[in-house]
Order: sequence, then structure tokens, then C-alpha cells
Amino acid sequence: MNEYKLTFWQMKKEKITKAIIITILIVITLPIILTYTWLVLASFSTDMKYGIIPVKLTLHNWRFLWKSIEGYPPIWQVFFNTLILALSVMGLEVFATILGGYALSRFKFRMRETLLKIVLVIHAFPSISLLVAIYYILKITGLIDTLTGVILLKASLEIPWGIWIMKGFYDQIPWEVEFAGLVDGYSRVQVWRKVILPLVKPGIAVAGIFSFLSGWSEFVFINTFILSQNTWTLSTYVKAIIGDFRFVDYGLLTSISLFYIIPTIIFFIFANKYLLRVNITGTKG
Amino acid sequence: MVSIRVENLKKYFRKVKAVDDISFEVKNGEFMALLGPSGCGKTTTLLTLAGIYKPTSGKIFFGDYLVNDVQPRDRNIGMVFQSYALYPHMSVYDNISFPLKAKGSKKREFHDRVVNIVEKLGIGHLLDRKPSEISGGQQQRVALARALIKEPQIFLLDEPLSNLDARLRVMMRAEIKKLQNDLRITTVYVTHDQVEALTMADRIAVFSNGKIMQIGDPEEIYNRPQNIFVAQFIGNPPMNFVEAEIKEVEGITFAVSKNLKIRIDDTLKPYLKNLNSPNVIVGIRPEDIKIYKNKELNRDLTEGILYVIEPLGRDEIYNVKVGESLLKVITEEKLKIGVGERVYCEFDAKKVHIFDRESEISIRR
Ligand SMILES: Nc1ncnc2c1ncn2[C@@H]1O[C@H](COP(=O)(O)OP(=O)(O)OP(=O)(O)O)[C@@H](O)[C@H]1O
Ligand SMILES: [Mg+2]
Repeated sequence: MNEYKLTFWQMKKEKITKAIIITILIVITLPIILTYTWLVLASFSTDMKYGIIPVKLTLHNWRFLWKSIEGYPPIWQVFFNTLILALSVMGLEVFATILGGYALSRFKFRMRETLLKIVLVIHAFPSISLLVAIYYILKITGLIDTLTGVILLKASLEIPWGIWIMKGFYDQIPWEVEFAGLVDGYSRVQVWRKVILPLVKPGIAVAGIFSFLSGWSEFVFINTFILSQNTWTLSTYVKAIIGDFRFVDYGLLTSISLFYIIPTIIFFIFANKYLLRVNITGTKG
Repeated sequence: MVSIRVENLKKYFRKVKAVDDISFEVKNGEFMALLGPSGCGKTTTLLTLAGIYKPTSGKIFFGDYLVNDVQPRDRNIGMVFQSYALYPHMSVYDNISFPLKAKGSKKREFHDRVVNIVEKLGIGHLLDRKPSEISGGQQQRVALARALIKEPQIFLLDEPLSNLDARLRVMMRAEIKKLQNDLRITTVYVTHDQVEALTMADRIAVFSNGKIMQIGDPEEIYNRPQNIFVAQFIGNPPMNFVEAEIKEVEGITFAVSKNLKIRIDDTLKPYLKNLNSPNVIVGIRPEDIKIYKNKELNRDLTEGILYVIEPLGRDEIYNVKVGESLLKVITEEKLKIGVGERVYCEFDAKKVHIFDRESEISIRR
């Protein structure tokens, strides 16, 4: 009897804890969900009654998709600029981190520890403090006002962190698996490609996703180093619309903001599977 | 098939002397066990043979070829790792055929071979599974299959049975021995389990601290240990050791300590000249001691007190306290003696081992 009671209360307790956790999660996410719902509704309606109730359905706010807004570059050009920026940063970072992470995980060389520490410290600096120095570098190399410049810049700032992440994933693969590949008749490079790389796929996904997103949402460097409209990206576009000296078109702003986050959402839906299997040091299981 | 010759091999990791100047030979088709406690350099030796570690110094020959600078992939070896090291992302089939793909073979060429070997090892029904979806014993067979599939000239095994439960271990012991016997591949087998080494190997090299303490066939290692390390490492329960002094009493030579007196057999006497001083350590295996309930006449008996009995089913281990030291005696006879009672021990004089106390080396070197 006593025992039964005990388990009964335990179950009850578990249920209560669960309920509390769910409530907290709802409370935390509610503002976010509400904000986005409002954004979606507002973008498809002419006006919002009392600021919250949509009045009349319209596609007017989404007109930027098929005709350019006066004074702004065509949206698709801006979109592709952003895409090129994000994909290039992602490509560069994945390429550099799968190699660098392997080297830092597997090779014992002098200054290895120091290098690892420096990499962390570098990442800790807010990149905004580097603006002036970077400006001169870009100026000298002739990369100012080019997308290439920003891509290289962004990638080089992201890569150290990515290497750390990848190193964690490589660290989890036992040496013996690598040895087995060598004994089985492969060269070290072949073993890396056929055995090790497939095993750090989740790490590649993490590095890829985060670098894509950081490229996609990049604002500071674009805003600082890119002047001409045909190299604008979506973040500058949004900023320009907000900061327009004429009056602000809130409808347009909402729809463009939504347009801006759609790829992010799509990316997360695809990457979800990997992200959930990952903790910061590597794969589970 | 090929022989292996190792000459003055050293492998240091910075200051750690993992392998410290060892030399040995494995004959064509021979089954050699490297036996020793944890951390004595067995794995390091094996990985150096495989070409994964470069020797700090020394030479390794396969047949007549010096292979020091030959890459692992060109050494034509099959290896089973302690953790099996299967490729987690590949199916059992892909794991086993991975070495064949290295040579550019196509599936239709090697498929029969894979089927053949998995049938032999009884893992034919697992081909589509991932390593994480099969049991430890099955993983071990997959690792064996992967090592054997390319018909290597040398077979290296690193404690392949240590992750298995006791029953499976005994079974696989016989299976591996049979496999090696059928294929006659030159084999180096690393283990810390003396029973494995004694039951499976043609010859055993006993390791300690990166050095080889003795090489010999199981009979030699067991019956003529060259030093105290080998004597105490081999045999279960372990050999009894007593500090003693060689003395001659009325023309008969004895090893004498405070509480016991062991006669030295005539066959051992010629070796006594190898001693630098009369101070020795006498070793005697538990099965070479007889135990009596009553004091019998005309026998050299040592008196002791029964301390505890460990029944082993067929045998029993009697722990006898003689003075300060505890002797283990193993016998099939079931004596009706209670703990705390007086017993009498007789040492088989022909089976006594004598070691120099200083150098710890056997007089029968
Ligand atoms: N890669 C390495 N770097 C530094 N030290 C090492 C390395 N590999 C082995 N050692 C050291 O060398 C010694 C021998 O190691 P080894 O792995 O050969 O032992 P072992 O006989 O295989 O032991 P076990 O039975 O535990 O597997 C140990 O002291 C170990 O710490
Ligand atoms: Mg080992």
C-alpha cells in the first residue's frame, strides 16, 4: 500500500514537473510565435485594425517580388547576392574546417596548444573592433566594395570557431579506426576521405549550417564596406527600407522581413535532424 | 606466408620507453603470443610490426625484406584490434569487403569470397547490419573476417578476445586456433591472459616494461621460467615463493629458511654454481606440493596451519600458513581437514625453481 502511494506520488510529481516545463517553454516562445504570426498577417493585409486585426487581404506588400521598388535595386539581384555570400562563406568554412580540424585533432606539432588557445581568443574579439584595420586591408587589396572582400572577411572570422567544433568531432573518432583503414590497404588521405569524413558528417553539417546563417544574416561588414547598390544583400536592403528618409512603408517592411527569414527556416527544417543529434563536442552514441 | 624477424627494436614516446630493445623471430606459419601485463608494450610492438608506428631504432624483416620504411598498406597484413575498430558507418558486408576495394576489385569479383568467409565464421545473416546493431562476439567475427579476407601473409591480433564474456572467450579461443592451424598464416597474437597464450600459441614471448623476459614454447615457459617475473606471471594460482639460503647439511643440499627446508634434487645441483651468493628465492608451483593430514615417516615434511580452502569444483586450493608465508597448494584430492588444523606439506624436489635473490634470474638459465 505504502509502496503504491510512493510511486503514485512520484508519478504525480513527474507529471507536474512536465507541466511546469511545458508552461515555461510556452511562455518563453509565445512572444516569438505571436510576433511572427503578426508579421505574416500584417504582410498580407492592407491595414491592421487596432494594430492587431487584419483588415483586407492583399498582395500589395509583396509587390517587390515582381517589380522593383523605386530607388532600390531589384530584389532578386539582392537575394542572389545574399545567397552567394552565404554559400561562399559556408563553402570556404567547411573546406577549411574539415582540414584544419583534422590537423589539430590528429597531428602533434609544436605550438599546437598555443595555436588552439589563440584560435579561441581571436574568436572572442568582437569583429566590430576590427573595422578600421579591415578597412585598410580591403583598401590595399582592392577588395573594398566587393562581395568577395566580405566573403573572405566573414569566412576568415568564422573559420577559427569552426575548426574548434570540427576538432571536437574528430577527437571522438578512435585512432584504431584510422589504423584499421591503413592496414586495410589505404593511404592516410584515402582513409580520411572514406572512413573519417563520413564519421564527422554531423560536424560538417553544424559548421555548414552556422556559417551559412552567419553569412546570410551578415550586416555590419556589408553595411560598412559595400556602397554600390548592385552588391547589396538582404540585410542592407531591409536596413535601407527601415532607414528611408521618406516615410516608412510598414507593409513592405513586414513582407521583406518575412522574405528574408524564409531561407533560414527552410535551412533549419533540413538541418534539424543533424542539429538534434549533436552536442557541442561531437555526436552522441 | 612469411617469417618475421625483429632486431633490437625500440619505440619511445618521448621519454616513455614503450618498447625497449627487443629481438625475436616468428617462423613461417607459426603462432606467436606476446604475453604481458597492461602497459608493457605489446600493442606498441604490434603496431610497429603493422607499420603504423615507426621504430625509434631497430629493424623489422618480413622474410628477407627490411620493411622499416614500407607503408602499412603495402605490408599485406591482416589485423584485429582490441576494440575491433569496425567502420561504424558501413554495413558488415562493406566492412569485410573494404580491404578488397582498396585493390580496386569490383563487387562481382569479390562477392563469392565474402560469402565464403562469412559462412565459415557464421555471420552470414548479419551482412546488412551496422556494427552497432550486432553483439560483441559477432563484431569480433566481423573483425576477423575483415582481417582474413585479403588472405594476408601475416596476421596480427591485439587481445581479440578480451571484450567477450568468459564462455564465448573459451569458444573463440579454440576457433581462432583452428583457423590459424588451417590457414597456417604467420600469426602474432597479443594477450595479457596467460591461459590464452598457453593454450593457443606455438611459442610465447613474455613482456615486462617494454622488454622480453623470455621466449619459448608453452611447456618451456611453464616448466622452466627464466626469471621470477615469468615464474610469477605464468600459472594460476601463481607460484609460491620463499626466500631461502642454500646450505649443505650432512652432504645433502637444502634450501633453508626460518620455517622450512627444501631438499635440492640432484638434477638441480650442477646449476648451483651459477649463484653468486647462497641467498636465493625458491619457487614452487601449487600443484607440486603435496599435502598430508598426518606426519608420515621417511618424508621431508614441512609443518603448517591450514588457513583457508578455496574449492574450484574439480580441484581445491589449500592455503597453508608456514611461519609468515602463505603457501597455495592445489590438489584433486579432497582432504578432510578443517581450517586452523595442522597439516604437512611435501615439496616435489624435482619441480623446485631456484632464483638468484639479487638478479631474480633462474639458476637454470
Ligand atoms: N601513442 C602513445 N603516446 C605516448 N605513450 C604511449 C602511446 N602508446 C603507448 N604509450 C605508452 O607506452 C606504454 C606501452 O603501451 P602499450 O599500449 O603498448 O601497452 P600494452 O602492453 O598494449 O598494454 P594493454 O595490455 O593495456 O593494452 C604505456 O606506458 C603507454 O602509456
Ligand atoms: Mg594493448
